[in-house]
Amino acid sequence: MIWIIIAMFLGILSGLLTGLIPGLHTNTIALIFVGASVSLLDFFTPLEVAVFLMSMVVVHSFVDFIPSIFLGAPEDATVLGVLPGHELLMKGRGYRAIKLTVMGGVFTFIFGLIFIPPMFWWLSNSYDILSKFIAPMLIVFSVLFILQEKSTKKKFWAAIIFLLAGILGLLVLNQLSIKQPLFPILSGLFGISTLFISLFNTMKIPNQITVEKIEWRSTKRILDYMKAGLSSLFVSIMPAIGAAQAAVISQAFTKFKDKEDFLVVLGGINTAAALFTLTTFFLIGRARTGVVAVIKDIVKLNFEAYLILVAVCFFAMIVGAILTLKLSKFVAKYVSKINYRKISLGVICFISILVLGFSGLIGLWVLLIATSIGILAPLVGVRRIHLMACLVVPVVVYYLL
Amino acid sequence: MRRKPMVGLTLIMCLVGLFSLILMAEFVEPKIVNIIELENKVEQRVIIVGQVIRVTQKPTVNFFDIKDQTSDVTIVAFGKMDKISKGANVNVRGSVEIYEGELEVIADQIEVLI
Repeated sequence: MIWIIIAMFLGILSGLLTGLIPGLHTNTIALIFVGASVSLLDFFTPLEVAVFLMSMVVVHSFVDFIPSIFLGAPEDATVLGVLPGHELLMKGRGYRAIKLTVMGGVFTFIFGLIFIPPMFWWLSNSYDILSKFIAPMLIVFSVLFILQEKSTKKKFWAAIIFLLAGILGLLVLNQLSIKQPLFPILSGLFGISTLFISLFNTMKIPNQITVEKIEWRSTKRILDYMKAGLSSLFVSIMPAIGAAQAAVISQAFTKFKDKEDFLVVLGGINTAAALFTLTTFFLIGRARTGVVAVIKDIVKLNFEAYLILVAVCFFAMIVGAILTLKLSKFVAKYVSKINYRKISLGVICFISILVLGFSGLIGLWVLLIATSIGILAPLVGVRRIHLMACLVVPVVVYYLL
Repeated sequence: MRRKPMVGLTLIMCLVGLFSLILMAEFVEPKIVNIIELENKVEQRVIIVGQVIRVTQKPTVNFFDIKDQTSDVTIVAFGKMDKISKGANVNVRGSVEIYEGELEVIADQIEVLI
């Protein structure tokens, strides 16, 4: 028991670190564990390694909003696609943005616990039928996202960006021999591209307000938690759909009143997906994230082990939420004083070195190409959601061929 | 930042980059490795050459155990494919994965050597 608690705290600490490094996804850490799992199992039981990984994922899901909201804010005069979190940051309300995502994470997680029993029944009965629709559904959603762009010109650019990211995904994931190929692809498309654009910023981040009171139990918010819970369930079943895509799908079906709702739902999906992907694996044996794939490799998950992991996720969720709020308050106080350009440049160098270490010189080349595609989306004013074609296209090809 | 030249520049970079990756995929072959070395090649694409020692072929998925002079491994190939007999020498190209703690190669090309 004591080792399970130690593993959980080590996981919380790791989630804190991986969450704070922009572009470093828990899947990358999980991939390191694939290689190290044989040696690790000499010292730890498979369940302890699973506890470590799950607590890391849950804490990471809260903390990773800190760099994504406080770093990489584009200047809205030069870049058309401004993210909701960055919009609040530019109004001095970065802490509020973080608090909204944390609130979404905590309450959707609790809501998710209520969802689990019906999920047991639904998944075990309908997955076989559902799996036949994965490829057509991914195609339909991708086309819908493109058509949602406002003008014909933007629809055209969205289609071009979808194609470029899709070809990149197909080549790197299916054709080339690269170690940990997702790391350079995702870091380039979503991480470095955003930081690169912020290098050209001439504006200053305004002073941030660090006292924020947010209503958490209004009807509007409860609806947000429900939307996030349902979208999370969707993410945990569908391959190649991430939190942002699920939030946009949820946006397509139900109108968000404001950008704050979007942040609550995004935070909710991110955290609850950890719980649901674990449940999906327990019920149908499918791993939808890199971390669950590692757990699948090392643990035969029985009901008792599953309950332990759910309890660990719950505890990590509470600690993750508190740590994120404390840390973001600290960052919010100092973000207006930091040299944004130097920080962005430093993070770009850091990620490039990590990519070189993990994936070699070809990885660095892939990072450069992915960054170019990632820069193109905000430059032409279309949403970054089309960049997820890097995963969608290989998954569709896999299911159709 | 001037947007138009940046759009042109990044678009050229994307196209040149993707073209270079297509060339790499076409001309840079994965390495031929011994089965014993697969443990260090997880998530990478490889070529292995060996003899088929067990065959299970179904309409949607095929399993082959193959051995070389160093060890043996399970090959998984999805989709319909021609019959491969036990004892055949094959050249398998695919990516190395771990499934339930065991190494396996997810094949995208299996060539029977004559």
